[in-house]
Amino acid sequence: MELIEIRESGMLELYAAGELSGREMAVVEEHILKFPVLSEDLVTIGNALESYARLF
Amino acid sequence: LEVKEVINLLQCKNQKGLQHLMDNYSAALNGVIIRIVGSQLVAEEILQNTFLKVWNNIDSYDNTKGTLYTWMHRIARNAALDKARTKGFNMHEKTVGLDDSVYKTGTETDLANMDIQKLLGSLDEKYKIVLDHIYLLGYSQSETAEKLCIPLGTVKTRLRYAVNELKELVKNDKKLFMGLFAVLILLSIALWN
Repeated sequence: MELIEIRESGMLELYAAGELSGREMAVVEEHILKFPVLSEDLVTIGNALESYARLF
Repeated sequence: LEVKEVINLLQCKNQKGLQHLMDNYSAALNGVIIRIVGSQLVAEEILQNTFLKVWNNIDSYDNTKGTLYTWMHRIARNAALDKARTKGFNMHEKTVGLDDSVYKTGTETDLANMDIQKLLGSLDEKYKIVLDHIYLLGYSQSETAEKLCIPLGTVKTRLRYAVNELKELVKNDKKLFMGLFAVLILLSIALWN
């Protein structure tokens, strides 16, 4: 997948939410190696989800 | 403490790091665990095991793959789901709902969170419900699709939309906080003069 495709696939959000199988996680992790900017995406997504979890 | 410092403490096997995790992350992680296992007693055990795992495996945490919280959340969620499955109960019937009984009391909720909570009202229920099922209730993508009677692809797009909205809320919330802070500083300068 290209950068835009992985960003729009919804897989990063599922990855950060802990809802991907081992195989799917490996796919995301391969893309992180290919496009290091995805680590920054995951920080933003992770922080947003953490703020949400802290509401409850 | 900055997250980086906490990670350093944990890597050096300094108990202060563990204490910091327990003080700062217990409530959020417990909220997720208890919704999956439906029992405070079981949730406490899983929470302790989660911290123990984090303590023992901190060297395998890789910050290119997400935040420390993301990693801890994944450990807690998986442990809770494993426990729910081994107990053989229908976990989604026994989970604690998203009702007020498990919401934090006002004193535990900080000001920033209250602002986000207010703003969250603007997030359409159809997006929020997907986020809640996957992120807080431990449902898989396919379980969420089945429960909400929507296609799997829609689960993905709605989750993504909900997270994007959340990112905006967090960003605006920080701006609001910085704005208030600036006003306070200006006021103090004005008063001082």
